[in-house]
Amino acid sequence: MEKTETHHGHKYGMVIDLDKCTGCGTCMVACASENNVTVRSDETDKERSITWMKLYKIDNGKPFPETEVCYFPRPCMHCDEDGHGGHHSPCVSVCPATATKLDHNTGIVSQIYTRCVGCRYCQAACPYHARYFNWWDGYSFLQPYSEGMERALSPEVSPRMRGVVEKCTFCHHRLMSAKNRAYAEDRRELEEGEYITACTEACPAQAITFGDLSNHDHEVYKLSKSDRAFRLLERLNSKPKVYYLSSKEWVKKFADNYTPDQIQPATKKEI
Amino acid sequence: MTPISFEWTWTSDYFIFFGLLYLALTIIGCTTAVAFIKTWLDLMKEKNKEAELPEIETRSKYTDY
Amino acid sequence: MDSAFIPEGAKRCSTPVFFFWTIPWVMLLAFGGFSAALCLIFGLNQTHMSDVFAFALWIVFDLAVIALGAGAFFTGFLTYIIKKDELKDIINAAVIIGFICYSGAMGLLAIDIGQPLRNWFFFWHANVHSMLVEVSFCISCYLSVLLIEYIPIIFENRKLDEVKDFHFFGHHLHHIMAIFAATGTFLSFFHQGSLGGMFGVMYIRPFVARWGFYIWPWTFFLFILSAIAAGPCFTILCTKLTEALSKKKLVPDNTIQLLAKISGGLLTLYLILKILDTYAWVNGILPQAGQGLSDFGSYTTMMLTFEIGVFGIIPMLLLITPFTRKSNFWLIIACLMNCTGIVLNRYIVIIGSAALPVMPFDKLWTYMPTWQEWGIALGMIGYGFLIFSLSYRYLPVFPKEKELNSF
Repeated sequence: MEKTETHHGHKYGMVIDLDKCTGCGTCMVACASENNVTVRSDETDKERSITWMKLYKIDNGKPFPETEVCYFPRPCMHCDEDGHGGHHSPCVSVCPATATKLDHNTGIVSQIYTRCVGCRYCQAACPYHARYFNWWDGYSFLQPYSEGMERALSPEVSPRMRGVVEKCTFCHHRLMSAKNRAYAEDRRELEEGEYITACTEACPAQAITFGDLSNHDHEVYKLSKSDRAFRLLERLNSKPKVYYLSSKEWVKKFADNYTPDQIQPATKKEI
Repeated sequence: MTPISFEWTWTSDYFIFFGLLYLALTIIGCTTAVAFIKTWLDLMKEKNKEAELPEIETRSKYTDY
Repeated sequence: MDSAFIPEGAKRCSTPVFFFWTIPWVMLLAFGGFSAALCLIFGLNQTHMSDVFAFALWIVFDLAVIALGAGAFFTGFLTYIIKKDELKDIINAAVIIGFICYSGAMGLLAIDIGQPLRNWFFFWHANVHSMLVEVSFCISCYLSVLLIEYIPIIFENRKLDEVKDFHFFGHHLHHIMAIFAATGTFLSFFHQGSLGGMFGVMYIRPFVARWGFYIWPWTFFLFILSAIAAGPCFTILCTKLTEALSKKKLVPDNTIQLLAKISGGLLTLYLILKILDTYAWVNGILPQAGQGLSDFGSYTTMMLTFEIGVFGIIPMLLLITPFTRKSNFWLIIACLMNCTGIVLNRYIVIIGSAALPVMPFDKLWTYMPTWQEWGIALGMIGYGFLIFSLSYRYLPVFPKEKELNSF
């Protein structure tokens, strides 16, 4: 087992309040803009659109007037390891070229574009569809419709060429910037709110909270312990770092699969 | 990949995995090398006409082997 | 015209006839080459693969041909290690079929990955916990073993044999073939298993996830078993096809019967374990994940029934029953069904795991390959026919050919 430094490390995670989410999609746009996500002129093929943050719409299946709708933003879950000698994060254990790794100091599952060979095994492994493959070149000369798009690129995030997998990085470049700023101010620890993701910052309803799940003072930790908190596909034990809050039972039930004789949602609240 | 490369760690899973791999590669390499060396020696013997080399019974010239 | 290259005393069709025979296979190969060029130049958007179907037609083809090519290592194991001498009459053909299957699979994989020039990363930056690393290492090493096993057969070409270097080298390689066969068996055991392990370890995809023994899920062992059960049948089919096209008997009956009997026995064992595994999956893994077989739809249930029931049990019965096994007609039917069953198994595992949703609000996805994908896959078939045809024409592949046809 690799040496873990959890007593020094952080576990950056997210809590998304579904009771507040209006489904406006600002998080999707902010994420795409921040992270230089390529956009094609025709994005009708949803199976190949790159959406690190993806907004799902679910409803309770009841007819009017009992219809209820909920919007479900889904970033990468940054699944954790089972620390008791169990399995690794699903996508990390399968990557043949070690292009994706769980950083024990931050809890972020990174993706190294220059290492990725494009075998797509991690895509096959991820049940959340959080990983996206570059079926096209975004900014090369072979893709004329990208001409002009390079002016909107952020210098903080490297663009990806075709043939590599990419995914939500919890805006890791923002962590680097925050750490640099803290270092310049002679600090080693970041304060709450100093490092937040683009989607957290952009959400007009402030439905997304981001922070250190292992820091008991952080808002995100407290929210993750709430009665309303649950995670997606909890019973598969992928240990996602993205929690959702909902006061509606039907929404909680949508987070996991149940056979007819299993009634209660299996919400494990340990980090 | 090798003990001197970047990601190598001295753990049991690396030992088992790469141990078996290098064993297989060594067996293949050495066996092929032995075949090369024997061929070279046979060719030298024939060139120097040191001995009458017996006709090698080939496998599939429609004779039983 | 090329009679100087044809094995001594063997009868082959005339050169123009052979030329016309190769035309469709060369065309298929050229079509495959063209499709591959398109994919390399324009990217994998030429296919209908997507972020849902990360593994699609090519991976199904890869896993299927590797399973069918298992006849090479298994026949080698039986011939050189277990010393089943009857199989010496078919081992050359098995090696060539194996070489075709593995080299074709490697060629396909070179196009399938997004960054083909980075293929060496699998080796240099290997993640030892990944099943795919085990697959790529073992397949690469085994392809080199197959090449080494193929070389002595090539050097037995009449003209090449006249070159002393080739004459001696082929002979010396053949003498130590048992070591290569043993190494090949070891490597094949692991890569056949790892191909199954690749899916079995995906614990967050309940459709394919399995419990297992230590780090190896049960699919690891089931894939090995199914490969060695179907591989010999594929060898038999290729031999029978060659016999039909050349209008000659090439392999003695006792060799074919031995392979068929072993295949039948292994298929029986495989089906017993497969049924037990399916039962454990339906009653253990699925409920734990909150899913049931009915969640996967009637298509899945139908495909599983076909795979195990129709294309599993029926060929098993045909192969273990001496009466049907000894009948040429039923033997070919049994082999065809056995091979189809294994291809179905690979298809269900790969496409099923991609198409069937895990998140409750996700939907069932569908997929249809593009002509470029078919082009490359069919190009591999053209390649196979071409290599085998050239080998049969110019190399003494079947030792008993002369004896069985009294030239």
